[in-house]
Amino acid sequence: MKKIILFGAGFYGRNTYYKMKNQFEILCFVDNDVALEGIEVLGIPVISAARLQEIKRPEIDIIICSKSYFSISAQLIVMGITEYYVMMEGFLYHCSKTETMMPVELSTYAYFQKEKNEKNILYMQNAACIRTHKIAKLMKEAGYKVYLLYTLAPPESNNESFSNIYNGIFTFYTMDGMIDFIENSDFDIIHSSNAPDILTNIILAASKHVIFDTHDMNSLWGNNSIEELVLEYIANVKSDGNIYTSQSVVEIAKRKYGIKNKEILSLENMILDQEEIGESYEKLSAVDGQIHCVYEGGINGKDRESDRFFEDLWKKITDCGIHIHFYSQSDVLYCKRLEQKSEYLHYEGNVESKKLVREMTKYDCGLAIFHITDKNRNFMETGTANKVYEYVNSKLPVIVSGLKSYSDFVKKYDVGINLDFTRDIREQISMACQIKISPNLLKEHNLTMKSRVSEIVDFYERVKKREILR
Amino acid sequence: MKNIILFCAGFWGDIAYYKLRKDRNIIFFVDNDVKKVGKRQHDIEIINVEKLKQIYDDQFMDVIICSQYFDEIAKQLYGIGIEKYYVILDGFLIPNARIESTDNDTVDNEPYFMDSHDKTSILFVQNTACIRTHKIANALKKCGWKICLAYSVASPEQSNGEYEKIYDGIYAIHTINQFIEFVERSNFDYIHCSNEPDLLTLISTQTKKVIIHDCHDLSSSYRSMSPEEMFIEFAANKNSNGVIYTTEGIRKEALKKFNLPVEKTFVLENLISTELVPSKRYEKISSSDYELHCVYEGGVVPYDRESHRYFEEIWTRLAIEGVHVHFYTNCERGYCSYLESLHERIHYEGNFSSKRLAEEMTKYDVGLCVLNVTEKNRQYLEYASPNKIQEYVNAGIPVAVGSITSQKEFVESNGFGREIDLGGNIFQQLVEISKIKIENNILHKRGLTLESKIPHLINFYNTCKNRSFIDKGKL
Repeated sequence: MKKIILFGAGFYGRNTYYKMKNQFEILCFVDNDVALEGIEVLGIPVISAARLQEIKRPEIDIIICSKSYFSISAQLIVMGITEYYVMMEGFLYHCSKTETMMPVELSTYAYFQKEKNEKNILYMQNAACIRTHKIAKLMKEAGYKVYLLYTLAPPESNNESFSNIYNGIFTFYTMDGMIDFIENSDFDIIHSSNAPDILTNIILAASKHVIFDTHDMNSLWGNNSIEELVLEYIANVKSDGNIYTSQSVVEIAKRKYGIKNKEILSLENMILDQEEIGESYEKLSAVDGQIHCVYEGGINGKDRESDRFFEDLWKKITDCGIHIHFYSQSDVLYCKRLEQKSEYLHYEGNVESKKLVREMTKYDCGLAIFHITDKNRNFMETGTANKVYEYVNSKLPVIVSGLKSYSDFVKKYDVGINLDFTRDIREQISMACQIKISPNLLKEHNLTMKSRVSEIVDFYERVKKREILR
Repeated sequence: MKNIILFCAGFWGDIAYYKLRKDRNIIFFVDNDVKKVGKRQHDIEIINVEKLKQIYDDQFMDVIICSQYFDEIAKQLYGIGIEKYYVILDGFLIPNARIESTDNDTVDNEPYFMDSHDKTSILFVQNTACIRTHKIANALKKCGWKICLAYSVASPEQSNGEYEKIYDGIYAIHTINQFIEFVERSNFDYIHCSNEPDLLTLISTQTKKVIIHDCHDLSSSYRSMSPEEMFIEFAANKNSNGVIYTTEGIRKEALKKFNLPVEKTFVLENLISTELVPSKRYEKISSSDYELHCVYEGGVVPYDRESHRYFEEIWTRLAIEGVHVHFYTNCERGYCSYLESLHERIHYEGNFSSKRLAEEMTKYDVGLCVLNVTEKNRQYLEYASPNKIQEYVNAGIPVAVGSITSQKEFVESNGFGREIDLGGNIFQQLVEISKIKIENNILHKRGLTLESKIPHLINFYNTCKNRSFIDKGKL
């Protein structure tokens, strides 16, 4: 395999691009979506499937990067292409006339041997997220060597600035390769982050200490397949140590999975460290005398059931003559459309988190209000989002609504209010804007990841001492 | 659990009814279909949502949603103020997040299986035990083994009544926890898990017992799978103490796919039991009407032109060329009537027990294993080991196969039949095949019955058990 074509320019195609681009020549994407035809994705042209006829084979290999790989393979077979690959969740399979979905390991790996006296941790996730990076960074500062194993996509695909914190980054193309590598390498601890729970399940086959870090307890959303539920069960029950994102998820996991006599850590999704904001900007309200709120984070315009579907909630606020400024990585086209709905809505783009800390000081308060439904309530009640800490870091009072976990938090630290939509919204928000936030509040109350370092280190060390019982 | 209300009176409602009725008091079915409301099912009244709202009392009642559209029904329940409910998902009872109690509340207090160990004991595990599982179980019972069955979806009572009585114990699987505890605390010598699904094997490998995975189907080779299913198939094959495959071809593929040592594997084809030798033979229909009568037994699949069991076109062609096609199937009746309506020479004959079917089939001239072969399913069919070929031979009738090399080689080398070329003169080819004489008890003489393989299977179980004491990790 040298030159490749990726069939599918969506989520899986883009991840495959990042995973393979440094070792293979990626000629183009193929996609059945006519809207993509002729444009470039990640700087690579997208062509239509019909043009595959012109491709010289066998020098060029085709990799199907899509969940509906069976229908695409039917499409290829009709065109006379009987040999191709399928990439699924970062694992590669070969299909030909004589074999179907045969795993192929492209990684030519050597077992890892640690140096003398090295204390290390291998972080593992399909595409490592910010929480994983933050913990790894802190552990590196605490004297551990930190390594990363990814299956789907490397850090440069979404969090490039964290690429260089790792002492080594590994990837594999088969489950077998992954197990073989870990079983025969010198890692003290495997810290495995969900979602999905598949990787944790794979690695439980190795006789190493596995820590399962539940970022998202999938079953709390309530629409899982039985396969997902079983994998969640095994990951929770069979790992050597478990981490959850709040005490309330810890309690749920204990009840649900009958977990006892096990090392458990509750570690919230906090900011890494209290960021110096430097000089605050002048408040917009000081200029125009109006109220300006800010929201930062994901927005979902497609699914009216989503906790991040904001159209109705925000309308109630803007109708009272209050401005909402939002920063989001989500779909730009939707954000622009959303902005059109009211003169009080302002889409401010997507600003890098370091800059955002200072940027947000322009506003009067931060919004941590979600669209709560019967279905998502359970999940939403299990913790507080990162954004609450980020607003506080920028010294903004926080507006929450309808969730006990959030209102308990703002009450406990006196950093905001629980908005009651049935009462005068404008009056409540004006009151909230008067709340003064102390500059070192997060540090003082151990509400940063950094303030928890010794606790995390203790946890790792306790898990290491346990006998592996699987 | 308290008194039970089953929401939806369809397929899954029935499943839940059969699984729970012995231990729980089922008071109502609920259904949104106005045609069902007011009627009775298993002598239980079917009510609508309005009535549910009136009678519901959370102190005394639990609602179980028995539908794949559980999301929609959950919304309906929230709408009438019911926030706690269970969902039956592939046979597993899943409490929703509002239910705070652990599994313990929902678990049946099934007694664990404890035996004095004068006999070897084995637990068969499958969602709905299929005929292959029953046959293996029955053959082991005759060797003096204690055989039990755990099922997650339909009990033999509901699915295959004739086999219900062979088991020394039948257990329902309700939750992951309950099943693991049951297996762990019982003292079975072996746990034999049949796929599909692979999931039950994965769950079983979480215990310290000797797990044998009977891979009826290597699903990744012929259908689209989710990433979860891909892993679960891998784990079921990889982490069991031994794996059984249905053909040499599938074993070969699996050895490569999962990187398994050959000693951990065994091939047990879909062989038929000597019990099924027909005890009486009918006169051939052709001897009275002088026409050619072929028979097909097995599944039929509507609409899906990619399915190897899609027969509309093939059978119509046979019929037009003057061949009678008689078919026996347990598939949905409405579709069978539709197939029958395609041509006057296509005849739906119903569904019989295996023994009775063997006798029935003696009436015909040729058995049909002419499947709908497409580029997509060809490879799967090359690997498959269709039971029907042996069942036709068992009934003393020669077999016509399609363009599948492995099947052609099997029937031709054994003198059981021939391949037919659908492009040629079909009638003439079938007449030629009908002239092939099948000797009585030929399968037994050739070592092609289940009974002749059982000693080897027992030996394999034993090897797996001995090796499992050596394997520290179950890798």
